[in-house]
Amino acid sequence: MEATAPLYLNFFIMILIVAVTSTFIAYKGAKQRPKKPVRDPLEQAEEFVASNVVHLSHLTRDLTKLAIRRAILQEKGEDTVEQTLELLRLDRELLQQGRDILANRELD
Amino acid sequence: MEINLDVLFLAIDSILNYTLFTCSIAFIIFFKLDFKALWKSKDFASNETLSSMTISIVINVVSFFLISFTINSIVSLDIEKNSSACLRYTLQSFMLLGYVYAHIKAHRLLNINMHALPKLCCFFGNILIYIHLIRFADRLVFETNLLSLAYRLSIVSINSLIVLTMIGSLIYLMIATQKLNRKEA
Repeated sequence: MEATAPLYLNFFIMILIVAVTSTFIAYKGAKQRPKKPVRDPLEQAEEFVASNVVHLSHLTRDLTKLAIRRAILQEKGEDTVEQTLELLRLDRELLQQGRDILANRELD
Repeated sequence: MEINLDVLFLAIDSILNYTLFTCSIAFIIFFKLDFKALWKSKDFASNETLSSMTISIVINVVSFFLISFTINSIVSLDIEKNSSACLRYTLQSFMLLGYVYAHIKAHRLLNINMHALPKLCCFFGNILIYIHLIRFADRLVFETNLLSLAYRLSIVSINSLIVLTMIGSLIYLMIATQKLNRKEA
C-alpha cells in the first residue's frame, strides 16, 4: 500500500486538473456569444432604404402626386438649373403640406 | 425487508437512460423531415432552441453509451479492486470533460447561443467531475471510504435529473414542431 499511495496521488492531481479545465471551458462556453457574419455594405444600404420608405397611404392625394413627380425628376438626373429649381420648389411644397398635415393631427 | 441499494440505484439509472434513448429514437423517426430541412437550410440561428436541444440530446445519448461501455469493460477486467476504481474514476472524469467540451464545441461550430438546458448539462457535468475527485481522495488517497453512500446517491440523482430534463425537453420539442407544422399547413 505504501508504494501505491504516491501513484494514486498522481491520479488525484490528474483528475483535479481535469476538473479545473472543465470548469474553465464551461465558464468560457456559457459566456460566449455567436459571431455576427460580415455583411455586404450594399445589402445594408438597401435594407436601410427599405426601412425608411414612406407609406403612400399616409399621404394626401396632392402630396402623393408631388412626391411621385419629384421622384421622376430625380430619376432623370439631368443637372440643369431649371430642374434643380423645380426640385427645390417641390420640396418646399412637400414640406409645407407635411407641416399642415401634422398641425391638423395635433388639433384633432 | 432488506433492499439492496446498489441494485435499486442501478435499476433507476438504467431505466431512465433507456427511456431517454427510446424517446429520442421515436422523436427522430417521427420528425425526421424537420431535421433534414434544418440541416439543408443551414439556418441554425433562427431555430436556436431546436438546434441547441438536439445537440444536447445527441451528446447525452452518445456519452451514456460510451461511459457505460467503458465502466462495464473495466469492471469485467481481472485486476485489483483499488486499481480498477482508480481507472474508473480517472477515465470517467476524462469522459465528462469530453462531454462538456463537446457541448461547447458543437454550439461554436453551428454559431448559436446556448440554451439553458445545455448550460445545465455542462454545470452538472462539472459537478460530477468534482464528485469523482472527492470520492477518489476519500477512497484511494486517505483510504477512509466514508462517502460510498453519498457518492452513489449523488451520481444517480444527478444523472436522473439530467435525463428527466432531457425527456421534458423532448416533449417540449415535439409540441413546438407540431405547432410549427400546423402554422405552415
